[in-house]
Amino acid sequence: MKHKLSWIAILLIAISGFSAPASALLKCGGPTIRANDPPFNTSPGIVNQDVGITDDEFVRIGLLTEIAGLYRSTYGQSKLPVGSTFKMVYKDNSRECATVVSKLASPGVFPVAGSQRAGGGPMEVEGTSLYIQMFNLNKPEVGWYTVCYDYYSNGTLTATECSVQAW
Amino acid sequence: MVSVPTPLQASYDTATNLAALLDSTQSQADAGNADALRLAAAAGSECFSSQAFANRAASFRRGAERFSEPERSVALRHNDVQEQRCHDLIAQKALTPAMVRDALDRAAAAGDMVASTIKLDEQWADTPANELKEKLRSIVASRDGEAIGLMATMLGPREEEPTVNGPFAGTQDDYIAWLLAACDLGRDCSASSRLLRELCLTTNRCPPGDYREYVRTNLATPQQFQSALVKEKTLLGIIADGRFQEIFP
Repeated sequence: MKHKLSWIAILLIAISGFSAPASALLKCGGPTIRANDPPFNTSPGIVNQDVGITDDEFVRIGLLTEIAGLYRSTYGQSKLPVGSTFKMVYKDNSRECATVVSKLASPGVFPVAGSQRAGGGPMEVEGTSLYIQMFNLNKPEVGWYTVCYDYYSNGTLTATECSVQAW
Repeated sequence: MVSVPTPLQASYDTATNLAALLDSTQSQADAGNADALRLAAAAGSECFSSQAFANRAASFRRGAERFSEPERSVALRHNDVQEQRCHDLIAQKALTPAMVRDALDRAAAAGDMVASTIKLDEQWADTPANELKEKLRSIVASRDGEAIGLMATMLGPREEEPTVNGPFAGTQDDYIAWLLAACDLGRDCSASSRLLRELCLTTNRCPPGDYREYVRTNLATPQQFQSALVKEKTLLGIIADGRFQEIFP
C-alpha cells in the first residue's frame, strides 16, 4: 500500500507539472526562436549569457536585435521585416513576443509589453502538451500508464497521440 | 568607377576610440552636420549590444577559442578591435535605446543618407511605390557606398509589399550586385572592415577574406555571382552617367 500511494503521488505531481493547457500558449505571430536551438545556442548573445524575461529590458532589446539579425543571416534577408513579430523563448524557457522596428539599425527589436511569460517545466514544449492520461497498477511495483501528446496549432488541438508504457 | 568614403566616414571606419571621435565631432553634430550626426548614430548602433552585455567581449573570446584557424585568429582580432572602439563609450553608460534611436532620427532629419536609408526601410510598408522609387534613386544618386550597401537589403527578394521591380531589384542576384557595387562606391569591404566585424561578432561567421569574398562564398551560387558581377558592372556605368531613372523605372 505504501508503494501504491507513492506511485499515485508521483503521478499526480507529474500530471500537474506536465500538463500545459492550450490557454497557456503564447501566440505572437511569426516564427518562434529558441535560444537553446542551433544556430542561436552558439550566438555570442546567448553563450555564457543567461538572459530571460526578468532581465532589464535594455539587455533583452540587445539580445532580441542580435537574434533577429542571426535569424536573417540564416534564413534570408527578407525574413523578419519591419513590423513583423516573433516569439523568443529564452534559455530558462521564459518567453515573450518581440516586434521588429528596424532591420538595419541596432536597437532594432523591442519586446511587446505584457507578453512576458515565465518558463514552464523542462518537459513543456510550445505547441505540444504532454500528459499522463491513465494509470493502472496491478502490483505495487508493476503497472502501466498511458502517455499522450496533444499537438496544437494556433491554440487549437489538432492531434493527440498516446502510447502505453510499462513502469 | 571606384569612390572613396568621406573623410569623417573614413575616420569612423579606422577609429580606435569612438568616444574620442564623437567628442571631436560634437560641435559639428550640434550644428546639424549630417556627417557628424551619422557618426553618432553609427557609434550608438555599433556599441549598443556591447553595453547591454557587460561581459560580452570576454564571453566571445572564450567562445572563439574553440574556433578552428584561421577563423579563430580573425574572430579574436575583431573582438579586440570592437572592445577597444567601444570601451570608453560604454564606460559613459550613455547608450540607451532611446538615445540611439534619437541619434538616428537626428541624422536622418539632417539629411544623412545612411540614416535616411535606414528610415526608408523602416517606413517601407507605409510608403507609396512611386515615392519609394524616388527615394531609392536619391540614395543611388548620392553615390554613398555605406547607404547603398544598406539599400541592397531592400532590393533582394522581399516578403512585404510594396515590391520594387525592375532590372536591378527583386532577386538575389540584384541584392548581391548592389552589395558589390557598394564596395566599389566607398563602403569599407576590407577584411578588417566594420561590416565583417559585425558579422563575426553577431553570427560567429568570421571569414578571413574580404567582404566580396564572403558574398561570393556565402550568399550566392556560382551562377548568381556571375550574374551579379555583370549587373554590378552595368550599375556602375549607369551610376557614373547619372541615369538613375533606368535603375528604378
